Amino acid sequence: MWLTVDPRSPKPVYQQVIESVKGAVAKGLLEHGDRLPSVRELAGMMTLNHNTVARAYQELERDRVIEVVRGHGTFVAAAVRPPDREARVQELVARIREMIVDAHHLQLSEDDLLELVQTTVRAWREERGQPDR
Amino acid sequence: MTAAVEMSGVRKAFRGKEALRGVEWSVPEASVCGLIGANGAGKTTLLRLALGLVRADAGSVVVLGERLGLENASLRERVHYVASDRAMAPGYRVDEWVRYASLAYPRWDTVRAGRLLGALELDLRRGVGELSAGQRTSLQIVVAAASRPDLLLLDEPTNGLDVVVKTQVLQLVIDMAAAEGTTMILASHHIEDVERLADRLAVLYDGHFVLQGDLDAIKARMHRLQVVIPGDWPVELEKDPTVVRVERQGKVAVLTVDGPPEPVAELCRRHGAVLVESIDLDLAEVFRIVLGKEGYSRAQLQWNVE
Amino acid sequence: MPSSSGTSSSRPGSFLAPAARYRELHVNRTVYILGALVLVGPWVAWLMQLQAELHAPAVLLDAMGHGTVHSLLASTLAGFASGSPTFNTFTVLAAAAFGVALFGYDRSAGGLLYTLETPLRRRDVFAAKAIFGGTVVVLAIALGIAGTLVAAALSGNLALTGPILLRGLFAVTGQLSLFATALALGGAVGTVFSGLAIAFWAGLPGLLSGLLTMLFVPVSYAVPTTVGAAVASPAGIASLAQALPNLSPFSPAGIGLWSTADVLALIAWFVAWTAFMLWQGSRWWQLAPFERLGDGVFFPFLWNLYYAYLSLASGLFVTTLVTHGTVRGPEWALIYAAAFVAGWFFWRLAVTRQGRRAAWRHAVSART
Repeated sequence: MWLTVDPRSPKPVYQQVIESVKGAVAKGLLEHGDRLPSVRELAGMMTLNHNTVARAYQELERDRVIEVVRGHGTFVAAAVRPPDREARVQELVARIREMIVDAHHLQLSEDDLLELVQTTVRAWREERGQPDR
Repeated sequence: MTAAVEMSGVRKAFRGKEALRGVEWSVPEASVCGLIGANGAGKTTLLRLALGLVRADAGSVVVLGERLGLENASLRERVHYVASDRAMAPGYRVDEWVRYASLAYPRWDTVRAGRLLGALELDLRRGVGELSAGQRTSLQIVVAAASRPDLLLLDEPTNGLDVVVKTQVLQLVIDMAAAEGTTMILASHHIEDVERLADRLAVLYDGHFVLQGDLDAIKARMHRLQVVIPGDWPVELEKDPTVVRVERQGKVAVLTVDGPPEPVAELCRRHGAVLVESIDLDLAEVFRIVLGKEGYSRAQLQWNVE
Repeated sequence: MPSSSGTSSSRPGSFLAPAARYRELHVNRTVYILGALVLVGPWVAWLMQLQAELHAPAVLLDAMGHGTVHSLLASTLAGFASGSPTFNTFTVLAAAAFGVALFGYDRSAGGLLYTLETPLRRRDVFAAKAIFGGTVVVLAIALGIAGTLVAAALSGNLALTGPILLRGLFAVTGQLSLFATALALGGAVGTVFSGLAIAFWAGLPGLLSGLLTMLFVPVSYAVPTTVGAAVASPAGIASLAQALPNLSPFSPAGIGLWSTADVLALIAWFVAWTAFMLWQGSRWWQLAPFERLGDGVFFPFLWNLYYAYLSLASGLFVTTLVTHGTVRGPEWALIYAAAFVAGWFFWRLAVTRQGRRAAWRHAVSART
């Protein structure tokens, strides 16, 4: 199942749902035009609070990850460059810096880290069924 | 947003012992409110108060806009109570009990009742007393769903149920909330169930609510940071007002922060921390910390968390 | 739009909510059937006697000093109409037990909770019992009276119709007042003690009169009053039932019919008593706090009355045992007082011990 939620985690459940959906879209498990379960269906399937799911869907819709088509359902939206992309990229950079610090703590050099990243990307592509570039 | 349940200054004593002392409670309509408390804390009493079955010694109880009086029979047309772990409707067969319910509840939905009885595979001709715990709870949920309540009170509904039935029951409950906007109050000491289903939380201890609010807000309130600071331990960190607990083992320390973690994380880095990462802090621990601040010792707070 | 097959339990205009009707007849069906059989039993015996008399052979008639069946029945029926005991121990206890038994389910584990959690009004719960139970009481007697009238018609004694009907009315109203009292106490005091409370209430005047006699009438042996009879027998407490026939006319179980005016007065009294008991009983049942409904009694102080009642009886027994009827007057009173006080504490200990072992409170969930 492309959706994993751990209610015990300190991260709010709606946040986890959002990240799960985004992750699934990024991985290609969900593609443009795929139909998502309705709020009610998803809440039932995962035994989650429906307001929580609704809130996640609202944000996903606002971020244009999904779109609601009246009378038809909820679908994955076409990939669109988010307007605040620059800020998002900066966040990504910050996270990379954190990773470098963590690596140091683990006695890994920056080169070790780069190698680790490449290995991981390779594995990711394999999961998606894409040939190694 | 109107409140489905509004209690103010509620006190209740049983045989001389005070069970509830000064309860202030507000449950918004269409919300799912998790009611947490140790066994014997007074959860069932609160639910019985909301049902109009028990009278408060003091204070006011307003349910679905109605101030509760002595009898409250008509209130129970719109408020339904479900509990597991107890003897049920002795002397009735399943179909007889359903028949009684169909007469007693004016909003009875026969179609829904039939559909759910089939879906849950309940044998109509069996005596209610012969049903297993899971089947009894399922039957109660069927009757609850078919009676179309505005407020559903669930008292430890998943106790004694196996995983399969438990999931079925919870799904039914969620569907009711999602489809009809039924307000739910779920009293449980299974914190995980509450974390999945509730959007509001109320923690009962020592006869009153020590914590009450949105679940996400409560979870977001506390943070735990694991920091590694080589060299001397900077005691100024502990003086920070939002740092409520510090556990140290050599260079590694775990800080519990009541508030946003970034300022404290930044403080740690300025003191030379080589590692600052946030670690999981579960809800039960959050309660203990909050209650600890209220003056309750850790030893008093050993309730069953599953 | 949900299709509703239900009707409101508190719809204005409905006499008795369908839910309450269904519930009462379902839950207590055994009680109603058994109750009907028990209440009609004595009447069946009576009718069989009449039947035997109707077919008495000439030899028997002569032996009894009556020339014809008509004359025999005339005498029997006249005796019936003038009041050979309407109320003996059996009928008192039967009506009382019936009223009390109707609350058996609603005090049992689970029964009570499930009753009250639904939108059923307490007053409807009580009303259903009163209506159905009352109907059973009335029908049992009506059947008996009808049979009696048939016997009267068959033996050419239709002249006695009036007195027979009057007697029937007396029986009906009297039994109803007993039933109503039992119902009221069943809903207020508690299943176990209601029956005894009835007997207590019904037996108190006799008991008191016996007691006073004992104190002030100068006799040299255990007097053959009801109290004396009770005390003299081995099972002292149980035989208090013998005190019941000697009741004051002002108790609803009273006997001793004199003139028609007396009878009519008593009938009126019974009717008033029945109405009062039903009204009060319903009120007590409605007012009793939920958490106390599983208890034996609602108001703790009633336990003390119960102990007092038990030691009233046991005190007599103990006193006679000790004195062998050789003591009377103030000395007797002193010994009795001591036995009474000792008995009160003894019964209190016994009952609380028993109460702790038995789960009186299982009607209300142990979870708080």
